[in-house]
Amino acid sequence: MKTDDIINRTVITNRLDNITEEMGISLEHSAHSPIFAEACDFACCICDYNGDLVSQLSGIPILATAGSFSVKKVLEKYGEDIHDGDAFIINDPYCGGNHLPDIGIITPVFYDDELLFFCVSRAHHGDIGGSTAGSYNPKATEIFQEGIRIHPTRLIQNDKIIDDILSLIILNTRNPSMLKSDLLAQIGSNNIARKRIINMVSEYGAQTVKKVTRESLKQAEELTRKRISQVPDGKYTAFNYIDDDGFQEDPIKINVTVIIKGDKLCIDFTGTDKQVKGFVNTSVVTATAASQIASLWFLGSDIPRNGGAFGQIDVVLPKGSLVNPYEPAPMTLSTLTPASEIIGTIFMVFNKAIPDRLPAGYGNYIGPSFYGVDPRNQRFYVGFTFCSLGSGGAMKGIDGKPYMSPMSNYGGVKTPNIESNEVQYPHITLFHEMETDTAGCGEYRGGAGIKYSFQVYDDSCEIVMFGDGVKNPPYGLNGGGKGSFNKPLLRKDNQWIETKTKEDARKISSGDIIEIHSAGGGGYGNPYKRDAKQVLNDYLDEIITKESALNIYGVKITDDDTIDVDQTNKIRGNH
Amino acid sequence: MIDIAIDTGGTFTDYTSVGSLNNQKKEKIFIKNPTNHQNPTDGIIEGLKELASSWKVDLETLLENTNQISHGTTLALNALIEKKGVKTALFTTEGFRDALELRRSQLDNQWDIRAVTPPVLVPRRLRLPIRERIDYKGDVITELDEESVIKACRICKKEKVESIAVCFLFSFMNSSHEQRVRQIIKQQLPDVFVSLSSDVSPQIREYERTSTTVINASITPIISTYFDKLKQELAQYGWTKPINIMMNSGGLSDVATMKKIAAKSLLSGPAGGGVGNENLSRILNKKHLILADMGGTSFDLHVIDDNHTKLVPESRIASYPLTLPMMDIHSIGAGGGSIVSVDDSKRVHVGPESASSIPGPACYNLGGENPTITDALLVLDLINEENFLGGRLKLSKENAINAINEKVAKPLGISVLDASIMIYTVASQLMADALRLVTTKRGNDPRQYSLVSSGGAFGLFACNIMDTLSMDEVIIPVQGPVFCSWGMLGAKRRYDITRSFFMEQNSWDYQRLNEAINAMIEEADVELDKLHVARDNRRHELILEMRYIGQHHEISIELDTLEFDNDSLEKLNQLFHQTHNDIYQYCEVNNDWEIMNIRLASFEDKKDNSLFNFNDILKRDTSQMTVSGKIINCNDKSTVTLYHECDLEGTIMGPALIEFDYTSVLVPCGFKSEILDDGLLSIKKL
Repeated sequence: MKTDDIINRTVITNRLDNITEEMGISLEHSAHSPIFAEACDFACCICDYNGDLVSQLSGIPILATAGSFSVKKVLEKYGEDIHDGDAFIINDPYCGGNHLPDIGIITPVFYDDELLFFCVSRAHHGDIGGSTAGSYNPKATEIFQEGIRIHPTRLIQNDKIIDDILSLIILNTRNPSMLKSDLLAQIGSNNIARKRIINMVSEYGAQTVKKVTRESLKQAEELTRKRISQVPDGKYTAFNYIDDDGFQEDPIKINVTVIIKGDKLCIDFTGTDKQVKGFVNTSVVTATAASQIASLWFLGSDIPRNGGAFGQIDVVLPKGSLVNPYEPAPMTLSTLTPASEIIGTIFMVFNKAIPDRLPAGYGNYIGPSFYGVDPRNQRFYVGFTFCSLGSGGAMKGIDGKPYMSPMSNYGGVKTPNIESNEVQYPHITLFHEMETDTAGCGEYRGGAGIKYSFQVYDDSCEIVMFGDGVKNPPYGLNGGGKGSFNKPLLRKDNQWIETKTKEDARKISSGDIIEIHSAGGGGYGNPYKRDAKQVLNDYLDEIITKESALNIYGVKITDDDTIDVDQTNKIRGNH
Repeated sequence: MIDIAIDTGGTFTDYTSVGSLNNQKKEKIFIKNPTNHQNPTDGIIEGLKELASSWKVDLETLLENTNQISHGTTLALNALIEKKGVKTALFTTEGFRDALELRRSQLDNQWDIRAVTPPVLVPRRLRLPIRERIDYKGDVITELDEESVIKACRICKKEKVESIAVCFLFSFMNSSHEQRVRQIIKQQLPDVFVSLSSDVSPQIREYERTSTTVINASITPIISTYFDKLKQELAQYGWTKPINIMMNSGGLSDVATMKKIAAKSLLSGPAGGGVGNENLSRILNKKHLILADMGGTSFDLHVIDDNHTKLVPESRIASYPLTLPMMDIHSIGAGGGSIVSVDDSKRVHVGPESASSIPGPACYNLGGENPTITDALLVLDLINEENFLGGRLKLSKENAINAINEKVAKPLGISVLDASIMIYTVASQLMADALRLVTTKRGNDPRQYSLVSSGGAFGLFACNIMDTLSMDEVIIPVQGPVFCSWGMLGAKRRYDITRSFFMEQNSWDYQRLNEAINAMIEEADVELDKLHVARDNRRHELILEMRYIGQHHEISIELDTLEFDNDSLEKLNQLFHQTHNDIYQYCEVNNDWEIMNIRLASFEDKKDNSLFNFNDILKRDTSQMTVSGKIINCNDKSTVTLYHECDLEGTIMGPALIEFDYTSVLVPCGFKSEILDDGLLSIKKL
């Protein structure tokens, strides 16, 4: 009996993972919006009848737990009024959403009239209305300026789309036909999952499947608790800053206290600044998700990322603070800047509890959204700058990974190729490479930052610059150096200017150049301890200059590009 | 005359041969020999000598009577996986040298914060900028600066680079700069191999194209040397005809092509299996077949739908993207050597880590401490301690028991036997899930398929898996253990072309499309001439890659014509919307589509390949043995009858175990095995 149980559990949990993978492939391949078709800015998951996450596609980390919040809000609102053949739509960050551009489609799965699962796809759409195209609006002071707000709403009944609801939504955006196509892609992807789940249940029986999913949640819960109990009890605190909110120049503090007692872990944001005027406020969903994924990165890669594990991380979000604002505060940037700062700050705290498990600081996001009418085909376009991603921090034994920031997107975004961008948009890319002397120094160095520049050839184009990280660079660890700053530049009418990180829409003329220098990651450990051969390689690879090799790493490189061992030992020996 | 196929795998090299010597009776002979990794050419010659002696002649005589030799090899794949390619530089458009290292910012597992990305195949100091630029239309924006090429060549000379990959932005639209750079390199560094991205993979997406070109540049010189040497050695035994090389696409090409694009042979072994599956489907007249091949480290699947097989345009090898057409081989990490572990949450994992062949499963007694699927099979008495791999390796059951006890049974608090049954069942289910994925993923019902078991340990799982998926039948071909090389005997000489071609629905111009297709057909015909394919024995198949305007990924629309006319638009329209709906569960008939690429496959039309026969030389020695009942659908311990290849007359009722050379097949209770044809068993549920 016991053996059969183990087999059922393994097979059914694997099967659910297969299904979410299939949802993801179908969404990526059939979507229209470049942000999710090329860059994969979406998440797919399956929740059980309680709304607990049982399986999710590997993808954007910050979206990991978001699906479960949305399902719980649908359950709260509709309760018994959820039927076979329904599907729901949601994006309201004040009610189960993470930020407005991410629209969730939730399809309940019934078997023999019993509600068993929900399939959830959540994708970042190119435009959802509001006062700027592309829906990142750094000058918004209320959520109403950020786009259309959708409370959990029934979109499909008896397997038929309710056209009134669909047109109400899409007509409030700038590209209704694209949004419609992409919602159809999401619905199609959910239906693929629904069919497959029903097949599986007919094979194993509803009772077995339910039992197995509860058990796998339970098991993840136990493992998470076990890992927490291995961390020394105590109260650990750290803080970090967001540069500004786009209105006032003062930094905004994120203060995190982690309390560990036995097998309980609580993340408390008391001491974090009050909510702000601009769109760097954070929804409850995003702040909670950021805290939970940061904690699980610390607790172990082998813990299944499901509701059982995430549920063990308690989060305290003081009402009226940056991480739990009163309505109608704007918050579209929450999944990028605040989420990444929250993760980085929590990493700092955990490094105090057990050192060397987590990396030094990662770069923050900076780049513009852009839109206009493409002079090549007279079609409206809207896009985001993915190729300006910054780089990762080092950790003990491992150099930082380039082009892997911010933490909220870690390894889940698929940045578009330069060629795809140039076919898609009226752009010509001038440069896209790592930049010398940007990596935080250390025994293990950070990833080098990226310089990305492109020229626009469209006179109708406007850009909206958004992001952070021009005042606070990625932090170093254990004697390692800080990474470099983000730096957004614009050449307009032959003049270079440095733009703000949170700007209103700017008119662009054909020939203008946007140049983003993204941050290098923070370093780990004393740079004098870095293997001299690695320092030489970094110099040969133009990651650092000869001067940095000497002045920062204490390695003297000769004119014929070899290590001057005597000099190097002398310099390094003196420290 | 005789046809020979040679499949060099990681552990064994397989030789199959069919034909008649001096007009005698037609014979079919196969042998397996350990692969010689140190000196692959010597290994092949030795193997061929052994094959010749099976034909009772010497190698010269065998080759004198040989019509063709087809060859697939894992050499290129090993060179890539073990990072043994030659020292390679990359010339890129100035300002864009880091695509390979930036990897489109993707990680395989983003939950593991310590995970490191695979090493970049060319270090940054050898990724050299060339001043030039072409735009998305193929127009030159910046002329090629030849000085920058000469400067880069100078660095390569100093660094003793052996191979150079050239990948410029939009070279697939205009290859003139890449071509000119090759000329310059040939002048400056005549001994260095050059690979152009516009030759290897002329299609959009520079990261994937660069990766493909660099892989090709780093392995081709090695493969070149090997084939040159092999040609020389074979010439000494009188073989001067061409050697046909198996490609990823399932087609055959020649040594000359491999000396330019050896990346086309990366998956030549499994591709041979795919071709074999196609052959089998034709011979048996079965529309739906799944070939399952369980090796030491992986479980490979190949699907035939409606007598039809598809190529995939892109795949990943050792985590590096490769954009060359490949047979659609679905592979999961569940082979005999897959390691079984129990994690902290008591979840049981089978693979994807493998004990490989060294140290191998615990029972190999070569230092491996981790339990594997093979260890479980040994504990369950499903494989024979004495007769593993034809008796070449003696197994230790004691080691298997210890490993399973320590790493699986104890952590779960169950007995070693129960743990072994569990491993067997979980592995079956993993494979069943993989089978389900390759069928249902495309909306197909696994119950329509027959399952072909090709050697290795799969015959011990096949019936249980077929039962789980409610499939109708397992087919066991006697040439299963050398199935991939058998497939190569039936492979066709082939040439594939993919061309970027943009056309929107509202600017439909069938003449422009016809012109593009005709140019491709002409090119293909020239290449097939080089491969000596007769003009009256050729076929061209056309695929259009299409999408809705605004989508980013294409779907492949297969056409049954090579020429379009006024009426074609409506047909194509219907075909596109219908196919889109089948795949993604929605379509938008009011939206316009666009054509992005044309793909043309050109190959030999007819090529025969016949089945092998059961060996009937051995004497009968049917005996009884005892195995755990759970595996064979019976209670507790059960007695099964042990059969050999030569005993296979009429019907065999389960429970039974049938032993072949190199493989065994388990027929559980409630199943029966029948001879479908000489050399072919069919097992069905009663």
